[in-house]
Amino acid sequence: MKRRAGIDVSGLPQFAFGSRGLIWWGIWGFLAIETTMLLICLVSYFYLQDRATDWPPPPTQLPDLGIPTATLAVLLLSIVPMHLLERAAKRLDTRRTILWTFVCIALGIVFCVLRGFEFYSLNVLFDSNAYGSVVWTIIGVHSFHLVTEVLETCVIVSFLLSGHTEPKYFVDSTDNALYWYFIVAIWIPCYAVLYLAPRYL
Amino acid sequence: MKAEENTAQNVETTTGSHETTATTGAASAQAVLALSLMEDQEHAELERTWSDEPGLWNWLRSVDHKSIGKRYIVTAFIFFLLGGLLALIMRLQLSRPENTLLGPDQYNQIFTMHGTTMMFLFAIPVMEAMGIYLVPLMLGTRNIAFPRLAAFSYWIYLFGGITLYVFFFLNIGPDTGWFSYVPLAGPEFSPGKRVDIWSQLINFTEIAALAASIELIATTFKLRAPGMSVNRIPLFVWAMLVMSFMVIFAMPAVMTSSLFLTLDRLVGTHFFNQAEGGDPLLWQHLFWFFGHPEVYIIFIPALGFVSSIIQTFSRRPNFGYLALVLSMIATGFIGFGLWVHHMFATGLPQLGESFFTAATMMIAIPSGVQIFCWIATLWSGRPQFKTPLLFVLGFFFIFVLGGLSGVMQASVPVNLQVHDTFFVVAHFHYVLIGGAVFPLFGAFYYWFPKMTGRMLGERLGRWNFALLFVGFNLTFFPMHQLGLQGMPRRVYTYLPGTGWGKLNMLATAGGVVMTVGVALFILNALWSRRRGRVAGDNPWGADTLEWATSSPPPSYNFDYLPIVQGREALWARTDDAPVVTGLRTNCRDVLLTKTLDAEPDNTMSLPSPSIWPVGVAFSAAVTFIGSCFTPWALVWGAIPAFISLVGWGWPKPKDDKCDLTPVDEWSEEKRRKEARRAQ
Repeated sequence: MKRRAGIDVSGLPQFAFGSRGLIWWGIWGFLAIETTMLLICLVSYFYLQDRATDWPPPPTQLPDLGIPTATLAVLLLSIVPMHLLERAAKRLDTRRTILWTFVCIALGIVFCVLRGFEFYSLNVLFDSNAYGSVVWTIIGVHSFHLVTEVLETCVIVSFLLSGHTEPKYFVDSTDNALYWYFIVAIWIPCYAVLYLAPRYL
Repeated sequence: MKAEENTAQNVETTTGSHETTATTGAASAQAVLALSLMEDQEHAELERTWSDEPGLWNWLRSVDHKSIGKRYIVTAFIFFLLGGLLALIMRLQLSRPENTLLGPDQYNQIFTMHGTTMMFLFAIPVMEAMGIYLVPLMLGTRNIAFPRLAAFSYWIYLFGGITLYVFFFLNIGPDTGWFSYVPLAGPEFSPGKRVDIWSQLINFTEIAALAASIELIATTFKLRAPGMSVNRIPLFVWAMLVMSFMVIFAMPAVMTSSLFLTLDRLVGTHFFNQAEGGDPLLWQHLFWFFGHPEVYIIFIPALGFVSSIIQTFSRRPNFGYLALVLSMIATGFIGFGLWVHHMFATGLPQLGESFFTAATMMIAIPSGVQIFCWIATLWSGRPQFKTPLLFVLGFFFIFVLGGLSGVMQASVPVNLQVHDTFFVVAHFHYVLIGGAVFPLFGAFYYWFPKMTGRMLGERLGRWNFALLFVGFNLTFFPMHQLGLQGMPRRVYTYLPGTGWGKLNMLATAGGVVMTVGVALFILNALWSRRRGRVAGDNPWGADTLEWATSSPPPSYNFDYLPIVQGREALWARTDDAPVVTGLRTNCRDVLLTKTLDAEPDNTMSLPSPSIWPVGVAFSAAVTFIGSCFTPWALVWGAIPAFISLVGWGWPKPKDDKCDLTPVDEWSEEKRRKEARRAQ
């Protein structure tokens, strides 16, 4: 079997952002799994609602709107610094990437604390009835992701802070942004189901 | 190694005939010259870079997809043997009426363990394992996309399996069936820890399967050899791709339902508690939304095995490549629309029943297309009836029979009549053993030479096939009749007056014959591993890229990554096959290509061996087991899991030679300058 040199790849870049890289595909796979899981929780919510005569079942009160809406607002707001972070990372700008990451982490801490209070706004406990169980599970699963994502952002910025400023770690920052956007985006339908659907549907 | 050296010497130093797809880079003449001079040194360096050092510690750290794949396959096969032994014990218990070998409680645990083992610890893992081993080789790359994730996937699977069996031997084995229906599995009717162990096992295996799926998808999309555009991907890889997508969308359903069940049992939620607004049927919906696609998750990889084997042993390309790919994808989609046919007996609305009857009948269409494509391939080829092909022919016979009894059950009245009888047991063993285990044994015979360098014995192989085929039909064909006579599933014994004794005895005899067949396979494998005929690179004259390298493949898979010139990569290869040059040999570099047309795009350095995946798997295992007892295990277990995850992802030391070019070389300014120069 004879062979000859066909393509020389030594001149190709050693990193690539977005869908040209590997991690991006891994993140999307993970997001597909998590989205499916949350959607199944939402379907279960409607399934249980369909079985009930009154929703939420009395004597359970409707959930409050104040703090949940504030959490949603902070979540949506955090997209702005995250987008700036992503842009800085794509320019391989270490200083700005670190700066915007810290803004994101600060907002992350704010919405995690607000989320803690949001559990009180549900006006139901997980073991009160099936409505309470499914509501707590939806918000619980999402909160798990919130905390994980803030921690992951801390870990990734610590790569840069410890002097690892090779392009690879900027790619990590942009892929992490994808996860952050997911956390925010998936909460919009969850919020609508938990707080608006029992009022207006 | 000899074969490699030969090929290495034959690398020609032609300079003029570069591919049109050649990218920017060093002057070609120089590159080729360097290539022929540095040959031996380069091989040694590749070996140093990619191989695992000896010792137990390094064995634990391995991230080589071939080591992981082989471990996965052997482990899954051991679970197959355990599950098979449990089945044999059940058959012995049922061989005559009022037998006293097993009591009812033991029997409940054993049939639950049999189903759980075969589904979660054998069938899905072994299919993923074949993918982990073969897909990177077939795509012509050096390792799987996320190698540490692959290692993690194996360890968490292994820990899950061990956990289940340790608890089983402590008499805390699950006893509510492999689908753990509530309310039987709920806190009220199953106190104790048995069902908790089952639902934690689900966590272990689903995480392992999901991780493997993500790796397989990313590998298939980004790590294909140049020239392997989407319309040239081998059918086996298509099968693995469809399976991976199905896992990603099906597994979350069982993940969610086992989460609900755990919460109901552990902290008193009410998902399935009718008294507080819950609904037991929600469990069945969620479980079968996973459970039915699961059948296809097991079956579609088998389609990949069958396509590979038929193509090789017919000596011609598969008839209807496009039709085969599309029908696999169609099966993947329709597979999600069938789950309710497991629930016809629960009294659903008639409109729903009609829809699912139609969908159930519809899935026979892509299966039919596939079978006819393969028949056409065999018909117009020159079939060589070696053992792998015999297993495929056995698959045709058994699977078509199983498919027929499946279409029968699409009809609601028939379904209600045979529901929960041995007819159903017969049906799904025809589909699963015929549809997955027979092709899998064919695949073992087919790829054993690649994995070990030696052929499995052909004569023993024929006996293996004959005994398995006869034994299988003896065991399961009488069950159709038993079911129609009214023998229910999951009974530990029956009365003499029922008249079921003779057929049961026949089925047990068949079970013994099957056992002998499997034993022959083990003998064959153990003997051939040391003394079998030496295989050489491509003993079957096959067409896919895994046969282009030595058997077993070197740690780096290919010395030069191949460039694919046609759909049947090795059959289409010209005499002076072009290869990829310029990947660093002192780093774990792989080539990323574009998703559709597989043009070279960028390179990256894959992670090195690491102990942290074992650490994460171990922390997760402790967390899962702990959370059978207290919800706080989740909180305490998260700490070591987080630490190990950070260790897993932490950058290599700064002086590592493989770390990337510093930022300033890639800065925006430099790129702009280069763009200007290019103009």
